[in-house]
Amino acid sequence: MSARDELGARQASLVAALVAGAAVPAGVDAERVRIQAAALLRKRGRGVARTGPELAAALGKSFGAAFADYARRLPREGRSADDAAAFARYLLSSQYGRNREVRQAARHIVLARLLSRVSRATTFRGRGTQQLQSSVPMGH
Amino acid sequence: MTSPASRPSRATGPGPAGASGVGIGWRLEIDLTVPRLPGLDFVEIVAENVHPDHVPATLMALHGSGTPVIPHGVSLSLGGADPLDPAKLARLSALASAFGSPLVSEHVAFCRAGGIEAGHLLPVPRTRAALDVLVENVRAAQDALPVPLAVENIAALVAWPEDELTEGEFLSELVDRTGVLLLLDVANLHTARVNFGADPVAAIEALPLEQVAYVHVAGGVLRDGVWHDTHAHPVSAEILDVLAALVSRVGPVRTLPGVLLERDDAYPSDAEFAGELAAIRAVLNGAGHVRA
Repeated sequence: MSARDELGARQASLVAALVAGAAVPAGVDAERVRIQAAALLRKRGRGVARTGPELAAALGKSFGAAFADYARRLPREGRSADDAAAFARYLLSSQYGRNREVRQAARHIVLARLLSRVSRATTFRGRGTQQLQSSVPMGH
Repeated sequence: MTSPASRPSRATGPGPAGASGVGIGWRLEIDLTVPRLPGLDFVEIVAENVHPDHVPATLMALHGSGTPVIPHGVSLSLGGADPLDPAKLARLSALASAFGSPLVSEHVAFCRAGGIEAGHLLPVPRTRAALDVLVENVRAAQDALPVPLAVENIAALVAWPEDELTEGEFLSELVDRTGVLLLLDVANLHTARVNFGADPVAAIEALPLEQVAYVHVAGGVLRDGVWHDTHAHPVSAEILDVLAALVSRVGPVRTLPGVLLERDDAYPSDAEFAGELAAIRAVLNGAGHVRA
């Protein structure tokens, strides 16, 4: 095993403990891992609540518990907007989806994400990056 | 007060590519506040949040008015075992070209491993073996970028039992081997003091200060004896004290690096922002007394 592979395995053990509930790596402070894992979950939840405020509003006080259920099963992939869409899909297949408001908000987010991906894939294609042109003159 | 003669013989002169004065992290949520802040010298943008082809008009106007813009990446995972993502390097490069930035910055950290995203910057084990991997990654990034790279010390809650080097030693050796610039986060030095008992002044004195491109300052909160670098709280006096310690040691050696306030949540009023920047500026101006 190369030094790079060994480092990767060691780092993977910490990430798994932090976001997937795996055992704490040997020698690492378990209490700190618990605190960091809780902080990561809150941070991830805040990002999702920010990009999907209607979902957070529909869930109300259940948001924290519902998000923790989801996050334990599915580590984050992509940006907060992708995470919010994946959370919405999870809600639709869970007991939370029985609530009408939650169902509506979740469907809206899944649809909006789909439309945004389609729109991004079809517009602005082929425009290269150039020096930015600003209408505001320099030196002001 | 220490006389210049008692210091290591370093040439007094300008710093490396970087920023000077006082800056703030530009965020879409505060895009109308930023241009109103008095005496703002530069801004930083989070590379992942600004697409070079769709720059918000408010940021475009700020750039057009001559304010330097520094792209700051948060997901390159320079300290990770995976090869660097060419798309992330291309984004940093495109932003640097678009804004004519003097440099770009990233972190001494990893943010994914084993195919799982941590969604956060995690500490690299400070071992010789991990340093070798980090050096390779930094060199690969330097080769791919059109401008110099600066790397930042992170705020950590967990530490590795196999750590062999202090943070100051680890960063110094990284600089020696790659020539990389430093983005020194004084709030993160404070975090290391609270969470691991690491002395921030010892860290500052171990670092090659002529390589510091600019400095980060941010607020956090103490919960159950652990410091959380939230970027959602006001900057406390103990963090400004670390900045003062840095300034008193940089002042005799070279021109002061720029200092940038990071705020990412619970945004305060314009007046509070201006007050925080004024407090930072006062610490920088205090350096004049030390030098006199």
